[in-house]
Amino acid sequence: MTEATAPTPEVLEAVQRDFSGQLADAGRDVDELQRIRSAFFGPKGRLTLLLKSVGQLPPEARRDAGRLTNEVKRSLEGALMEVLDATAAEAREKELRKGRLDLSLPGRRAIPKGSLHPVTQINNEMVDIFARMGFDVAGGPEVETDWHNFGALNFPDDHPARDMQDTFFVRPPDDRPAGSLVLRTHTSPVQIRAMLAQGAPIRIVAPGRVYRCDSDPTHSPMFHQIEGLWVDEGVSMAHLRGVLTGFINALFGERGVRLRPSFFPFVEPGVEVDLECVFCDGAGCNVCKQTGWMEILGAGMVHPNVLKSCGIDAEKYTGFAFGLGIDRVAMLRWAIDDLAHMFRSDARFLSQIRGI
Amino acid sequence: MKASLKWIKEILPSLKAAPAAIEKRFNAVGLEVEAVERQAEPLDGVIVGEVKKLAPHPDADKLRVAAVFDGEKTHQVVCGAPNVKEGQRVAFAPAGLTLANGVTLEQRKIRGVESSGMICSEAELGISDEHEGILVTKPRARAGTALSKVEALDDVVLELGVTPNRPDVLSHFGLARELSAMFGLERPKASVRVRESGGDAKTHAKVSIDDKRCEKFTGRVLLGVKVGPSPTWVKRRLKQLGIRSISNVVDATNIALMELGHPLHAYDLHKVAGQKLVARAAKDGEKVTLLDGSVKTLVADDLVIADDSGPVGLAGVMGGLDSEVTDATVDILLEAAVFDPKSVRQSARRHGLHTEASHRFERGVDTEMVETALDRCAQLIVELAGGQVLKGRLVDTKGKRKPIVAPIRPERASMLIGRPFDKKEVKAALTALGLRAVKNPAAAKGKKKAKKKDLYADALFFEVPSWRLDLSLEEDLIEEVGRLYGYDNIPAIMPPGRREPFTEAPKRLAERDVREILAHEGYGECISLAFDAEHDAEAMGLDLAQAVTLANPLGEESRVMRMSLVPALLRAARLNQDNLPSVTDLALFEVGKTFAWAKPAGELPKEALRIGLLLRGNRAPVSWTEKGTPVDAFDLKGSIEAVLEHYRVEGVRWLAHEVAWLHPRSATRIDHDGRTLGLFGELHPAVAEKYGLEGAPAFVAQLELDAIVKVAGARARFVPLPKLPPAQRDLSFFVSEDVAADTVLATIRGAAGPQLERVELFDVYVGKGVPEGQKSLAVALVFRAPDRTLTDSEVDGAQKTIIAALEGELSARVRAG
Ligand SMILES: [Zn+2]
Repeated sequence: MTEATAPTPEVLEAVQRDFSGQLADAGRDVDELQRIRSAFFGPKGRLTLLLKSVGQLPPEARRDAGRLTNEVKRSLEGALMEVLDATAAEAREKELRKGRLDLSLPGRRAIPKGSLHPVTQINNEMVDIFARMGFDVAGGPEVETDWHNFGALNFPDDHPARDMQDTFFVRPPDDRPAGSLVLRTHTSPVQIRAMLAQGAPIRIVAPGRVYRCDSDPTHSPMFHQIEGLWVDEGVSMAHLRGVLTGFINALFGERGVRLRPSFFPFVEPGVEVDLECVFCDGAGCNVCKQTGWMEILGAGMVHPNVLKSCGIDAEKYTGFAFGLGIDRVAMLRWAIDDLAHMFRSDARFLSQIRGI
Repeated sequence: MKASLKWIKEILPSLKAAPAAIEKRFNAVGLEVEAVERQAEPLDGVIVGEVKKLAPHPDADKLRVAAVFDGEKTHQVVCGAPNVKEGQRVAFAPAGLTLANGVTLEQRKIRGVESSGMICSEAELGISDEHEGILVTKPRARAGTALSKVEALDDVVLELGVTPNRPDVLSHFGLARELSAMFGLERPKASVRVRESGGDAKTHAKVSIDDKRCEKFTGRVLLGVKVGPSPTWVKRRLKQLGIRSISNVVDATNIALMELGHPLHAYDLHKVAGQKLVARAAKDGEKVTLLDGSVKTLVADDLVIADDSGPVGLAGVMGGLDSEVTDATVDILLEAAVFDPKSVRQSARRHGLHTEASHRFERGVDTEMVETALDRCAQLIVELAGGQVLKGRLVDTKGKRKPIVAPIRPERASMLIGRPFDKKEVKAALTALGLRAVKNPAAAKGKKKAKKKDLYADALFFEVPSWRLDLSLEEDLIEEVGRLYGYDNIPAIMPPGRREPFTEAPKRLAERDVREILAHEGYGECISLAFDAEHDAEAMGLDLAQAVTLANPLGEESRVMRMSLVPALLRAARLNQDNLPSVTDLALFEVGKTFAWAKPAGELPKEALRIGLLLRGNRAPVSWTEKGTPVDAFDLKGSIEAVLEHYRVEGVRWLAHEVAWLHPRSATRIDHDGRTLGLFGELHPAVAEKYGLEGAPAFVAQLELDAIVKVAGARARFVPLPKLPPAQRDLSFFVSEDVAADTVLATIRGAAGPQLERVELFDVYVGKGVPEGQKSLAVALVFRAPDRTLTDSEVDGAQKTIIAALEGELSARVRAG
């Protein structure tokens, strides 16, 4: 079948009608649509031939005829492509919905996750808070001389103040007297070492393991403390209060802080710092024995005798020191009910609070 | 220290504050309230009952059946007390009530007779030790009224945490004195007037001091006392404070102690040989039998109280059994003395004792309170046990202490506390606490020696009262001013910025980095107690001569400070293996110190910061994607490499090694220039057996973190990205199984020249198709020049050189390339 006639408007209209009819009949049948494509736009397609026939027209008629034919071709071709694209999209949509994965199955882990110990996590958090306030980190030995652990910290020999800390004694390997070496009972000897090495002004925190020879549900023979020390000109208890309030707010969120007078030989005045109970927000509960407060740290203004034993002018410089148990804070943070879990290395415990 | 608020208020009648306010104030001034006992609480529901009728029990001689009226109705109660009588008002606990001791009363039959409720003794109600008979209350009391009301059992007892620097508040008088300052009341006075009669005490007995560790020794003689049980009020008061009632005389010494804080001791005058007491040093080997029945062998450092025949007590700690007051005692020698705190503490510790007396003497007693306490006790004994107090005190003393004078500068107080205080405030606070303003002692003595600059020229000076043994420095006085002002009133001020210049920011601690790396590598961090047994060190093949040993370990299994991190990890593996269900897929690490004495020993042992690693079971838990691949030494090595990579450690060699705890097949020493960075490999099966590890083998490592940090490489530098494409060749060959992979790679690198950018070993195979004793290796070679594209013939040439080296140096046989 050939379109013998030239592409007159009538002929083109007839072609258009015919095309529309066929396209409507074809629906979403891809084969049929492809057939229509070649029947109208292929090398022997009706519109292709009509375009070719434009050349045979008299020159004055060519322009209009050519324009008209091209317009019709573009319009019809566009309509066909639209249907073809829509069909292809539908087919792909259908294909994509096949073989849905069951993503309720557990995900695949290349390496099973490890964990940081709760004590490490709290320790890092504390060190970071103090670092923001300009404190450097210091450390010291865990086996200490009696002088660093007690003497330089203003604990008199044979004084009941020493009973506050049950001490592990290390057998000297030489002829030093028994009792001259101890496992440090607190991180406070790091203060002494740091002040002897650096003098004043000084601003440090010292986290680490400490040892006391008792073992019961709330005491472990080894636990962790973080010690803080700030010595400079004009340091006051108001600064102590400011730093510790800031620290506690950073660690536990905004909550009440209470200072009570207390006694530690290496500070004067000495204070104990209470925190509004983290379980009842001060209303009173079993954990805080209905008081609404929990004791969180010990602190005070560095005793002049301590400054003097470190060669610091106690008239010119003042300072404060504080210490608190890291393990206890970790227990509060995650409601860990037994201190013994901390040091037992039970994988079921370690994997609960991963921290990475 | 337990304190009765009623008692305190008897001493300080002007104190009207409610218990809650007193509690709060105690906390605010540093006397921590650790517990509060409200006496009436456990008596809730116990009422006054009227015994309307009393009939014998039909089947039991010692029991009687009482009709007890509770104000509304009558209860039938079977009662065994001998002192119950018709018409009495008694303590009645109706059926259904739970008593203080936790027993819930039920209606039941006693020897066939219905009994509902109970007529109680004081002991059953927990108000005293009296258990012989029932509590009989006021005869006019109305049946049905709460017993606590009628008997005024509404006291509040506070358990106070008293820090060792405050012995002055270890008594009700001391607490009342402290409260008077806190509430702005007049300070109570401890004055006692004893009614003396009869002859002069000195003609009946003598006390003397023969050792300067006894500062003051006083006594009184009482004649004709009648030892017996104490009256109810004494029993109740002692019970509240947790003290056992013994006899009226002993109870009197305890009441005086709890009231005034000074320990006292009563001797049976006729059991004191020669009626003479002396405070003297013990003789080595001397023996004394103490009140608790224990026999102590004394040393010359002990201070004793002795009579003519020998020691009758350990001074300041405990009296002796032989001179004890008994029911037969009629005449008494009462002692009150002051002993050296250090001496008392040493004796108490030496003989394993801790008593109310030693507790106070160790901390220090008020030397001015001795006579008052002695008189108070003597008077109390007469009140409770009759008899007479002879005229005069027996006294020997080593002289009066000079009072301490301490300075305080208001501006220094203001600076230290962080809030301004003027002279008036300072003086008011310190005076309230019993300090006395005095003139500058230096000025008073007319010292004209002008020092460089007298810091205290404008200071205030205060004389410290005899009971405040904790005050001697300016800081001590400043603390008192601040304490009374209230620490909660101190402002919170954030410190100013750092004054010291900033240099390079401090490096993060190596232990922190390494923990994070290993956690990301899949290991769980452990923290274990740093104690091991000696056999742990032996299992690790370590020299026990270097062990850091505890003198007072908690047990045999924790006698030495750990010398290796490995035993704790093995115990952890065992613990997890024993869990239900058993956990054997494990990746654990610990970063911590190990301890050992150097040879010869330094001042302190060497503390080495180390990393322990343990790997066991499957690489990943068995799941729907993982069929379970067991870990091996290469998994462990990969984690070690991650650590070394972080520190950019280069030039590490992995050398075969021999050590007790590692399997010879894989024991490896990580060497850096002769320095050991760590040991690792499979756990030796014998060690696994010792620690009870069964099944999956364990792979363990111990790395030297200090050494690794020391050999850390320089900071990483960016290398410009190559602009030209590389040329790549693969090479596979057989080589003897003995030839280590790093030898092969080193040979390739050595032969190739600078154009070999990278060489990677991508296959190792032993088995079918590989000659016996050989292994097949395959490597990828990447060649590149920075400035031009390499030609094929250049790359071929380099490859040939490599092949020649492999064949020549390692007798390799190239299969393809
Ligand atoms: Zn609470």
